[in-house]
Amino acid sequence: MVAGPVASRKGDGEFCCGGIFVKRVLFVLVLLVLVSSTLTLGITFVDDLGRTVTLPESIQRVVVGAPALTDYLVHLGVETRIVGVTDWDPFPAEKVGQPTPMNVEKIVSLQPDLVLITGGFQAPEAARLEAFDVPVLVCNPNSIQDILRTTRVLGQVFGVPAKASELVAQMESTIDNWAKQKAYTISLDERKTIFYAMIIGNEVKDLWTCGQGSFLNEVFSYAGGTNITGSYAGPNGWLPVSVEFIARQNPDVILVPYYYEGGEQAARETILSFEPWKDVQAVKDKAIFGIDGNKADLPSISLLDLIPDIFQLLYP
Amino acid sequence: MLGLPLATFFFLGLNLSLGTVSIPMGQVFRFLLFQPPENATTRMILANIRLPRVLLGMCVGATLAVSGNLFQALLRNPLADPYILGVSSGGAFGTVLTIALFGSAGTLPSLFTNVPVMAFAFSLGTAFTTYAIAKRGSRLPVVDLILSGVIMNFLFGSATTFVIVFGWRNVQSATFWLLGSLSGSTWSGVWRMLPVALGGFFFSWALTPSLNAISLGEDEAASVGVNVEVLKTGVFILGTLLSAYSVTAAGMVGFVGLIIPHTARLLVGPNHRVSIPASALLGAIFLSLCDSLARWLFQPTEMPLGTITSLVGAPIFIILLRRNRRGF
Repeated sequence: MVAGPVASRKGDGEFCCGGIFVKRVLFVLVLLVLVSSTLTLGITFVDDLGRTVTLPESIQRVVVGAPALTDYLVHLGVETRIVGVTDWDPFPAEKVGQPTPMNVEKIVSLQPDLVLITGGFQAPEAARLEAFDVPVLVCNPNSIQDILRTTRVLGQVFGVPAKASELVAQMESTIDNWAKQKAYTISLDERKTIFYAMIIGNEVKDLWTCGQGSFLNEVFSYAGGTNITGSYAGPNGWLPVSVEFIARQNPDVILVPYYYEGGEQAARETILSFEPWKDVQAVKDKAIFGIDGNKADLPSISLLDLIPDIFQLLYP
Repeated sequence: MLGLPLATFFFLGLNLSLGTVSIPMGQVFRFLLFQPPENATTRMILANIRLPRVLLGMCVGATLAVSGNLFQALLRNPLADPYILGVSSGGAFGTVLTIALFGSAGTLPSLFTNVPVMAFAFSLGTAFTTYAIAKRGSRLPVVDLILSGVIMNFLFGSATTFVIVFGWRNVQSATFWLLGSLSGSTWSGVWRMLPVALGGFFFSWALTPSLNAISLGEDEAASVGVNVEVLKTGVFILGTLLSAYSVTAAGMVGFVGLIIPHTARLLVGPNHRVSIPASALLGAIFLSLCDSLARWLFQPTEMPLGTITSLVGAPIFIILLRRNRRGF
């Protein structure tokens, strides 16, 4: 690159003018090739919206648009590269506002190499952020297979594929050890029926639960349980259910998510003292257990920890 | 007379300075005088994120205020605003329906799955239905127009709730549409809005003599040679187009079209030759300032724009109302 200008300084005779011109053209060509080669450096990914995204080889600053995706980065050991998370994300990094609409100004000011977001209601953010030249990768895991794949993809993105393989192997062995070796050996008649009660506050109303197509439904199956709403569909696999429906289905076990220390006890009390369910098997047996809501809500690596937990609750 | 334009420029600077990333006023005014800041990130934020957002807010505010001024003259009713004839509820229904049917689109290129396009179409459709209901032969009685507007608002309001309850999907992205937001404004948004804002303003301004005449009453207007029915239809179409177009740019931002024309008349008097430009400038200042508050108050969390316009606008309106009992 330096050769161009130096050479042209030498040729100050009029016969050399053509030579200078050629050298200039060569210089520009070499420059163009160099520039274009640096532009195409990086790795191209196809994200979960089916978009092709070319990312730099080394990602040092990342803004994470969803708590589930933060969990992947923590497991991959690259959490020090997180420079921003959304409101309600417990990870200690700068807050960048709501998951939608995202605060573009705040995100740009953090100068990220990459913004990770999920699909669904957050999907339109990809186009909005890219309008301001912020690179975006959409990861939208919705099942346990998706979790394994997302782990590998993010391992590639952050340059830690070996760590990703290790995590995937661990998850596969969790499924192997608990689902295939233990849960599947229980005869169908003896598998416990589960109702997952997402109660709001300490009141049994506006009940939602997980159904067909939800990642939590898969976890219950792997843990040897039968989700009483497992054959019902709903938006993204989640659906509202009525109090009467649960009483009629008569589940053996009721699982409730809790989000803080002691929350488990409060949730248990609420359900045990709920008059309309006093004849439900789970209430009679006092088989009401809390599960860590911060794991149960997120389609991420921590979710698989629940498989042994729930198995042991169901079959002590 | 120079006060308002100067104030507009001052507030442009203030709005550019407020935000998640604070930028000193001095730097902002040097930027406005073509001396961009050294820091690349600050430059990027000012030039590509904040300036288009503030300008778009000003265009939308001015357009809504001018449109409100038109409707108040047309309907001779102090409670008239750009949304009184069903523009907002129709737009809300179009928005929610599109989101429920196609997800929060944006990624889909088709015209019929595009939220702004559908909001615009439904806004216009509702307003013209209102018009058709109110029309009596060749006449357009103002009371009938207001009443049918109220009915359309109720009808589409409950239709919107119906879709929200049964559509399940993505109500959160609908919220920001229903309450208005300028989040993620780009220069292309400004270029789409600016011609309409300017055109609407000058067209309305050119109607000054007729608007002045009709705000005295239809008979008075007719007696000075104004074709009242043609004027009413024309003003209706102009006002509806302007407010429906604003809805596509920023969602259903309430209150601006109601209080700004009143405030403008209190400041400069009822003559439309001055009240229309004053409405435009005050609307520009008010909406862009509310947007700055929306993104600055609880940063980095952004508030929907409509909540701020009502929160800020309602007290101002009450004070003005108490002070100027006879002004309205």
